[in-house]
Amino acid sequence: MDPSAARVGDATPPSQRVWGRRRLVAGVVCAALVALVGYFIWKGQHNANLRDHALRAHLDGPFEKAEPLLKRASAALPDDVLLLKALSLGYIEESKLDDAVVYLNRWCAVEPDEAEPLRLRLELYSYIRKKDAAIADGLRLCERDPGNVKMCVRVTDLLYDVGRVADAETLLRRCLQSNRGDPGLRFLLAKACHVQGRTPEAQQLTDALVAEHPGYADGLALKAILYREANQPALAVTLLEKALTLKPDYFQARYHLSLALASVGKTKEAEREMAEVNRHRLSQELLRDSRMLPENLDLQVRAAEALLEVGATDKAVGVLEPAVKRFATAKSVHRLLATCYERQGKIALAEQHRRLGQ
Amino acid sequence: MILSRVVSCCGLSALLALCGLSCSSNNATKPDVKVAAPTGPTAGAPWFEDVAPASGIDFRHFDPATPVHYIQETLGSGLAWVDYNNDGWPDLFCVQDGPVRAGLQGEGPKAVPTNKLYRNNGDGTFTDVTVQTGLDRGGFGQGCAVGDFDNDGFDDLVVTYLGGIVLYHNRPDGISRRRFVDVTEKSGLRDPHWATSAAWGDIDGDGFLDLYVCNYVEVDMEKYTICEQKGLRYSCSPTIFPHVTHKLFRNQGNGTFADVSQSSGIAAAPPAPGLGVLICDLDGDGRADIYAANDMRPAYLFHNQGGGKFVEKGLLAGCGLGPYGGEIAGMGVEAGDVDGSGWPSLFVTNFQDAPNVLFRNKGKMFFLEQSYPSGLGFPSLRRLGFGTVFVDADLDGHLDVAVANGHVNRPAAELFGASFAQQAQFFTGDGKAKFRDATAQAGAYFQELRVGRGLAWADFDNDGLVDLAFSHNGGPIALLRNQTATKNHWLRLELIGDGKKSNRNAIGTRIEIEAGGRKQVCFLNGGGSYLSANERRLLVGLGDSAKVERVTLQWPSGLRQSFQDLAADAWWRFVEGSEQPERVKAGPAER
Repeated sequence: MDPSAARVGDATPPSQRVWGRRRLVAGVVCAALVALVGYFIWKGQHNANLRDHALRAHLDGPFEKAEPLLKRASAALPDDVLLLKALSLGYIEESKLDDAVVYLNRWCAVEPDEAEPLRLRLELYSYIRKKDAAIADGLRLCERDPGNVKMCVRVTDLLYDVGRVADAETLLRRCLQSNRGDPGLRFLLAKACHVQGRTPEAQQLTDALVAEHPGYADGLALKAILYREANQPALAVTLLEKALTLKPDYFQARYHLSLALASVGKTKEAEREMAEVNRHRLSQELLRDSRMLPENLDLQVRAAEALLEVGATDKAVGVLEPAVKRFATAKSVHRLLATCYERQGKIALAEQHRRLGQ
Repeated sequence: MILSRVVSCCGLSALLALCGLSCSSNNATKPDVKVAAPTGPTAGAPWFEDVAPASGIDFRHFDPATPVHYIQETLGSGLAWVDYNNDGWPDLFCVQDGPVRAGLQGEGPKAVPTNKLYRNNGDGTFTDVTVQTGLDRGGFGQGCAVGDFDNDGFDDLVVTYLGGIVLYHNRPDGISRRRFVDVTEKSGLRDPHWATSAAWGDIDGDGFLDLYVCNYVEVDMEKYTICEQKGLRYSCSPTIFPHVTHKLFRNQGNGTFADVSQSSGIAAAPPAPGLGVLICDLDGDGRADIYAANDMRPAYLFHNQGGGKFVEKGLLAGCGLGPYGGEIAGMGVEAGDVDGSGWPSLFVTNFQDAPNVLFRNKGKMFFLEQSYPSGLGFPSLRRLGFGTVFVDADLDGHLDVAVANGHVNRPAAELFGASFAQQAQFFTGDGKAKFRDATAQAGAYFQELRVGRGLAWADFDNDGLVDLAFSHNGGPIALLRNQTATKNHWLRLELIGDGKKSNRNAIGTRIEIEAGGRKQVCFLNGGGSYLSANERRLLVGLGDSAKVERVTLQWPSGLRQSFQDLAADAWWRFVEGSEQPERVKAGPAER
């Protein structure tokens, strides 16, 4: 076909035709843009509504009900911190920890400079025994805020747990640069030197710490341990007795006191202190076992009794309150609860359980 | 605004809950990953190769795993080096367990796999002689102890079971070979409990070996408690089961034993789940003391008072609890002079997230816990330790430590962030109670993930280097031949008591070796490790000393003998009372 024939048959001038087509295209584009903008406005509004709805549902009711809404909203607004936070915390409360990690990871990615999600993830990782991951978060937090003594101590503990004591020492030295003189950090540094077999350095650090903080029980106890190791148990006894005066429930100091007393030939006193240590040990063992087997009534009762014997009333209540829900007619549980509440000054509750225990 | 409300609504409680949870949780770690094995030995460092597949040792431990996760499934079984035919080539005895429910009486059906004895052919291979030696017995076997209880010159065998113990007397079979005969009933040995590790030692100085047996827990199979977390079952802690006292049997010298658990004072100690035991004179008073590791309960230190009486002193002696007074889930035990003090220090393996514990012996029955400063504590936090031995693998004159590791719970990764199968570990010592983790350089086996349990040493090829055998729960034996490249010298000591005042095995002898201006002190202990027994001969590293100036033996009878100028790199046999030791050359193995 001759292309010129088509041009001859078309009466509209070419420039007009082009202009017309352009107008058409422009119109379509404009309409599309308007539609798109409208869609986005609608979508934004919709997402905002969905988000508010989800968050309100979360506030007003159980997480279980709000969860699908929160997830939908978070899928629509993946960088929304509030939703990520609600989902992270909600899953933690529901003990769905794998899901919590997913949203915490997103939250940490969205707010890389915020401490809160990192702190929360550190604790979560620690709980689900991903200690290396917890430590990584902890070290980031310490790097950002070396003045945070509590975090330094927390991360040091984690590093100890996995055997990274040299890293713990490095961290402590860095934290001490921002918190010169902090007795807790200085104690931990001395301990780090001690457990790495650098006794003279540990001794030097402990001596200085105790000289400046003679009322700091941890420092006294560590100095006493060093005395014991240097075959000077009599000096250890004095320091440990002082530490226990300052902190009567200092189990480790009591253990070392018992050994030091035995070394200086005060066997009776040593046995008395060791009996105390044993009572504490047994109560902790029963507490652990009672948590492991919550359906075992006998174990709950024995744990509570042992805890009461060492004066750990709050922990005994922690065992008994869930137990009384499981074993509502168990008189022994009511009687023990009555004793606990009485010690806590909750007289009405004590009376109520005493009656039920009769 | 909404943000703050969300936080106030659930943030605090969640954080509090988390804090509470994290505070109550155990200190667990993430599972280990397999590390690429180094391809060859590092100069001067211990190096072992697993030669079990080529040796003919085909023992595979029965895996008693069930969906219930009974506690009985967790302990595994041990092994023992016993030169049963006295040909100078240590033979290997492997204990077998079986289905939990079938093994309660210590006698399983014949269809289940049995214990195995492998005779050492002297050429790096072994032959299964289980049937011909009369050891083809099933049941839920746990541990074993080797000792010549009748002083006839041939080592006998005790095997512990879930529900009992069996004493095998090593006798001639009438054709010129040896055979083990079950003499349990006649001997009067009776322990109807869950017996684990056992140790021979002469507790009353009468020249006959007495027997200590650890008992673990009592399990009522009809009312078995199930432990579950996150929908996964796991083995409950031994603390929730009833415990019974351990057993001490006095050898009456006529082939029978008397249960002296009560009269000796052993039973006066609070019952505890025992797993490891050794018999050694810990305070140098010439009497055999007993140290027993208990699972989640303080270890026992039974101080021998003489006259067959013991007083338990573990806690106040400072070797009952771990660092800072923490409980030890004691599994394997070992004793040796790791710090050059001349006293036997104690070493106890421990649970995951808790350190293996070193107690340095300060004399007069006082011990100083030094797990972390020694370098043995921190590397063990991510392991669950069982069998352990002190050996001088590189012959430098300083004791090293090997540890078998493996978790007790199959869902350990899901529940505890730990690996079920784990790497064994090897630490080199400097003779001053400091150790270096040499696991990564010790050979391919130490990079493999296994569920380690028993561990015992022997120089099975008589080349002057200590070899190791590991047992695994539900797995094959690993026979690690020591291939350390070293020019260091060694001395092998075979001690034979007079069989009258000292037991023929000479268990309880203290040995001083002076070479190159250095003095080493060794001890011939009863028991040790976990469910396992080492070879009887001692192998001492001499460093670069090609000659031994003096060997001094303090026999169990009290006799003290010194011998001068002995050649190194040789096997010397010392017979109590003889004026000169005999130099022995390993002859051909019995075929």
